[in-house]
Amino acid sequence: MRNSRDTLVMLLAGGVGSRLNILATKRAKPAVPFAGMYRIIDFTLSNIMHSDLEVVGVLTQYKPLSLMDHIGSGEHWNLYGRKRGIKILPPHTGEADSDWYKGTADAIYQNIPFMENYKPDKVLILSGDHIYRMDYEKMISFHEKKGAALTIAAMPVPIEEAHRFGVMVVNESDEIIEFQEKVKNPRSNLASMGIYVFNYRILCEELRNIVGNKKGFDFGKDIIPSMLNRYKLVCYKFNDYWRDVGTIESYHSANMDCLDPSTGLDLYNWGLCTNLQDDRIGDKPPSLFGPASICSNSIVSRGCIIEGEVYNSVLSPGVRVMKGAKVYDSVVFSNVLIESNSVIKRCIIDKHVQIGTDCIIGEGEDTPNREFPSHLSCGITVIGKNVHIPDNTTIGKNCIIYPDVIINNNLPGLVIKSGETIKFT
Amino acid sequence: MRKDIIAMVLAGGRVDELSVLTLKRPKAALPLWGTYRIIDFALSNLMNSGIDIVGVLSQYKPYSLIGHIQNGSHWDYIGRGREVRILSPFKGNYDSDWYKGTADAVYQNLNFVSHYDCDDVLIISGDHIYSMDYRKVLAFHREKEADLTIVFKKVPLKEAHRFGIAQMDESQRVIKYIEKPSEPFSDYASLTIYIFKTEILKDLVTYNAHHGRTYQIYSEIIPYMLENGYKVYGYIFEGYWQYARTIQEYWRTNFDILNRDNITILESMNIRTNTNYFEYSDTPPAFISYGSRVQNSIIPPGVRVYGTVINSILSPGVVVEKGAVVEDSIVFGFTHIGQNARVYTTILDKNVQIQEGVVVGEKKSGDDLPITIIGRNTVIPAGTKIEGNCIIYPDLQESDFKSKLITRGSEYKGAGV
Repeated sequence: MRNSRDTLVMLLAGGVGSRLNILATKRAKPAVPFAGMYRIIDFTLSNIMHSDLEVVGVLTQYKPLSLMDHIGSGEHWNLYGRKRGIKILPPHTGEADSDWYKGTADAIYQNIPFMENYKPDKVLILSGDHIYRMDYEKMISFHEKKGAALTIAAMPVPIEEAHRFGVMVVNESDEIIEFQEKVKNPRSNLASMGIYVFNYRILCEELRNIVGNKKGFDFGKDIIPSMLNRYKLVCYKFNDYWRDVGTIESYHSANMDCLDPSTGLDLYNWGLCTNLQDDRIGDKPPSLFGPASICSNSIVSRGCIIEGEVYNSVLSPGVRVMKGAKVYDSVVFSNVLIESNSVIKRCIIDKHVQIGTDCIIGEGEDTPNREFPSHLSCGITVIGKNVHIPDNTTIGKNCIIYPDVIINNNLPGLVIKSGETIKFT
Repeated sequence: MRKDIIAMVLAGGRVDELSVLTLKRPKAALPLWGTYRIIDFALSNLMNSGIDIVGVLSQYKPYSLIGHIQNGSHWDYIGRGREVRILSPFKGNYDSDWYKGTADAVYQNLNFVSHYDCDDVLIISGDHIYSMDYRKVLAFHREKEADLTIVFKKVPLKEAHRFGIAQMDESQRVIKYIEKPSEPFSDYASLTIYIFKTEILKDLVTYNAHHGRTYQIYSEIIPYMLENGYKVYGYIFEGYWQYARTIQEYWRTNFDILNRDNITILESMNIRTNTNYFEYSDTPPAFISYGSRVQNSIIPPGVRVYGTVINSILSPGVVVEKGAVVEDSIVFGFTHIGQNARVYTTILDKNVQIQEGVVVGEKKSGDDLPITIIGRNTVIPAGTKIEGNCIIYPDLQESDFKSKLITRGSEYKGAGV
């Protein structure tokens, strides 16, 4: 166990997640639901808990409300007690009128006073928007053993994807000799996971020098390159399951990974914890499977009623699939109602959506989304929070229906073609 | 501290009719409907009725109850002026002051009552399944200026002999009350929910403590009040109410939930439970595998089904392996049903291990319900066959089973017993 004088945790949870499109328009990326009853940040918080760390500062900025609700007192991750705690650190006004966090390093820089309360020996910097399991204790001991000023966790990624990450070149003793942040032709496929162990004094010095003098605001772009030839930087290699889930496709496919422990994502052995009081999940009754239900290769959270058929899908709490309805390869958020005889294929359906009877959603041509072709071309249709889809509606592939859109239910047999985006009523 | 009403929950009882299920826990701590325990209904009703102070009177193996209630925060009993307190028996003037009956249990905790300077005391049982707004009962009680208000529910006349039965006049004043009458004169059955005026309750249980024989509210306090002209009124409750005094009743109550309308009623009841107790909070959502079959069943989080589950109530953490069949059964938390095992018409308590190829119970036919019960932590070795109507004791290991067959109607406590 490491107390807060040894290692303090700073968790960057401000992620906008813009490529998650409408899933992240009303919530920060760490607060996006995942695997039925969890939120993305649960993975990091559970890692912190299992690594026996005691004090966490959570840096929020973008739509923090659902995140703050979810974190609560921190007791669900054993971060509540005399010496344990989780503190939300929102941006605050400082010398300038508006000191919104300008980057990852700026967010930490602006909270040096918080860290000074603890005067830790080391700071572990994490981000709240990845799906993985890691024992940070091993990384911190590695950092100590190497006598490094900064240790960066990294994992090999396919070289064609490496341009999306900070990548590093290391020598045979894992020392980082080169670091490139999101460049076109990276010289390595060893990608930074955005997990850093810093020596606290050196971290503060660097932040004051660079961020304090407004020379830069980001770890990957500014702090790491500046430290490269002056300090010992080492790479902690990680080779297990880790997903960024930054896009609709990767989000959907990581959810599907939960259905098969051989992918490396094993919910039943990871010891994940969540806040069951959030959204009153814990108060829901257990799920009821009806007399004619068929369910195959699926995750079913509590409070569901399944009278129809569910295949290869992930259901959040309170989902209802009525008689004759069929759900295939989909991720369905909480309290969604799918009325009888509707067919849902490869969809992500946000909270409180109601789908009328005899709808067909997710069938049609493979046209990429016209408005956001870069977000959505893999065939998945996304329906935003609170939308009611009238009876007999047909919706194609790669469609986006914005949250709270009211669809006129006097239109019998409404057809929304593949690739369309519905933003207004 | 001033409170207009406080509540006492009688949760001590162990009933022999519940067999090995209550060997290690009081009835109030029995699991129900997958994720609940029976006492959740009383505690949630109290919370929903805005009653701030609750004493839970418990003396029979209270650990699972104490663990479940914890600090009461799951029912919002936390914060200034709100609490749920476990009132266990304590040594008083005599070496052992175990509660001798319901009236005695209240008597021994009168200092708890006095502490609150309350006008009325609500006394309820911790082992009934229903949803009730006690504030409505209190309003009735105050309107009638009653010394005691008892809650009644109409039951079928042929079942009335199992309850305390009352006759009321047109103002709902109780004029006759007999506990379990052999020839029922009315179909108003007592639900053992009482509101007493505090001062009268204190006097009566104190008197009873010195002159009583059974020390029970129903058999001594109520008849005494009627004989001596106290104002006893009956509040009539309509709505879902069940209890679990026998295995058959416990069974029927459990299966009530395999009905969509009842699930809707349950949701409207706003029943809370302690989701942190043991490993329950950490169980992921249920996983229903490819090639499995789940029909007409309750599936809580943490369940993994690779086989077949039909007409059954599962609890968190249950695993049904490939080729296994669970039919018409109730399975408590973290029980493991091995490959190709078959379980019919059975109650499996917590952490039971059913190994490969075991056959437990008999298919039910018609009205015959040959319920087999297997106690907590017991391991049933591979290839064993246990017939219908059997009772298998808790904590048995593989080596306790010398024979591969346990015949119909056996009560099995282990080899050599």
